[in-house]
Amino acid sequence: MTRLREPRSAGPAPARTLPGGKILVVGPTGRAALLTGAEHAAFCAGLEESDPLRARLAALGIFAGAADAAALAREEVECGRLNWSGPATHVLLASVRGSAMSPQTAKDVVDFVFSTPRPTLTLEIVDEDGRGWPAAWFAAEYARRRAEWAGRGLALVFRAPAAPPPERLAFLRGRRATVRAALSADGPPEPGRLFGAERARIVIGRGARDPEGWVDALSAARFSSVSWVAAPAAARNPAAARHYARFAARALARLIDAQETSNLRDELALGLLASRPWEVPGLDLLETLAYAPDGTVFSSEEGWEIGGTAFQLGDARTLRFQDLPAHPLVPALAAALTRETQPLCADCVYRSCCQIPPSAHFRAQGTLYGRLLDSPRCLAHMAILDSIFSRLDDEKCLKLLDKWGVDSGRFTC
Amino acid sequence: MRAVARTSVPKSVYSRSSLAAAALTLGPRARVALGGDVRRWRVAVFSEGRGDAVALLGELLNEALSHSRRQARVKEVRPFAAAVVSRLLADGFPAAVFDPLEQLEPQVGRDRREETALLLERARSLA
Repeated sequence: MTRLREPRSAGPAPARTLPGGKILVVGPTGRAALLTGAEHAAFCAGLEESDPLRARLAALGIFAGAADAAALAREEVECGRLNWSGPATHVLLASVRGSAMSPQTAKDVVDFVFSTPRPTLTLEIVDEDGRGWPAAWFAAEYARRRAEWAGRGLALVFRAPAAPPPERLAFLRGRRATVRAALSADGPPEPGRLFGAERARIVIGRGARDPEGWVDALSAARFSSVSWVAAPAAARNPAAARHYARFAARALARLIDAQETSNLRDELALGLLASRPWEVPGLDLLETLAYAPDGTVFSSEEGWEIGGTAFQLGDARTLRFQDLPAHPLVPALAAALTRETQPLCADCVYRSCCQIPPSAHFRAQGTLYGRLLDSPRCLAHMAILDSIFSRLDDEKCLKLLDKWGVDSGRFTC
Repeated sequence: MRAVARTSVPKSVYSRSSLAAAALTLGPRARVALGGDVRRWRVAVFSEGRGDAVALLGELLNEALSHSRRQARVKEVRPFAAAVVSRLLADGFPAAVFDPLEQLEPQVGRDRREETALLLERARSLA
């Protein structure tokens, strides 16, 4: 085994000028400080030993001798891939794009899901047109039994674009499944479109307007969480990507302002702030696996959406979880997800919390690694994290993070 | 919109392997031709679809530069990255553990299979 050298200093510290003019400086373990322009200039020029700013910045671990190597190692072990125990979310596509899964295939998929080692699993069943109901019904019933037999935790989620018939809704409620509305933000957020679901996955296309209105409507309808998803056009078109990023950032700003009255959570922001790869929604293999109606296993739903075989891992009937490292895609994903080897990620202020699914990079730029300079997904993550980190000194933002269960002490000092 | 775009770039900045890796990311959208002298590469991009060759050339050079920086970065942090990735691939994918109850008591396994078959039958009747 290679013995790693202990770092003598962790610098240089990444910095970013945020909207409003403050400068965010972040240490190697993700601790951050917001500086004024004058403070940052003084820091760059060199601080005297007695300068109070020096003590404040030393707590970030960015000076030689002040770097906390033990904390860095602890961070890597607790939040890094060494503590990974299998994907957390399994997306079973019971009916999509006109294809429906059979109950037998749903059984094979659930059997594979329960061969993965994570103690608590989330099974998200997607029934786009209602024709996948037999497979969805079976998957929900069988997964509940498998969880009970194995003594494992299971969260069931049912995703549909419209309200399921009452008897199906009653079945889902009886199985404690969460209903997730798959919507588009084109058009106003009329209450009828929200159909009493608890969670929402909302696609942001070019026609999406009024993020504040959407946040207010979802909060009023007592939704627990929302995930803003970029429309496929935003994958390649920079203007569409900027529109999505602005929408998501404005929605987050509204959530911060309305934190006292709203219980709505932003799933992507929450996943990024958790700083654990298995909590970043849609992160190939580490957070998610997706299962096509014919039983093919994909490294993520986005990987399935791309089409072709690039993100296929095998067939749920024959694939064994322990064989995955031998699949050429898996080492490639593991390498692509190593932020330390990405030139711009390694120097990014958000390197301790941000991760971008390689399938998203591949869709946008034809490479698993992505080019961060013109990556649409990087732009969106930056906008979302800027919304939060630019308000790290705002009581409302800290209260919101507290309400979401985010340990803001990890970021602030 | 142009069908062909050409440029020359210094070999000290763009390695052959970086340009080759970058050409792969263009996929079927373009053909890339590479020539050169001692100091510079001559690069030509032929658009194969509706894409503008100048834009595709820009994408190629961005990707090549990104690839070359990534290779340099990989060299710098190789011990750390190798330790984490190899540990993940070696230990992160354990084999499924069989239910001890089913192994100790075969009847439990039989009952569960029967219950599953009934569920399957009921699910099929919902179609």
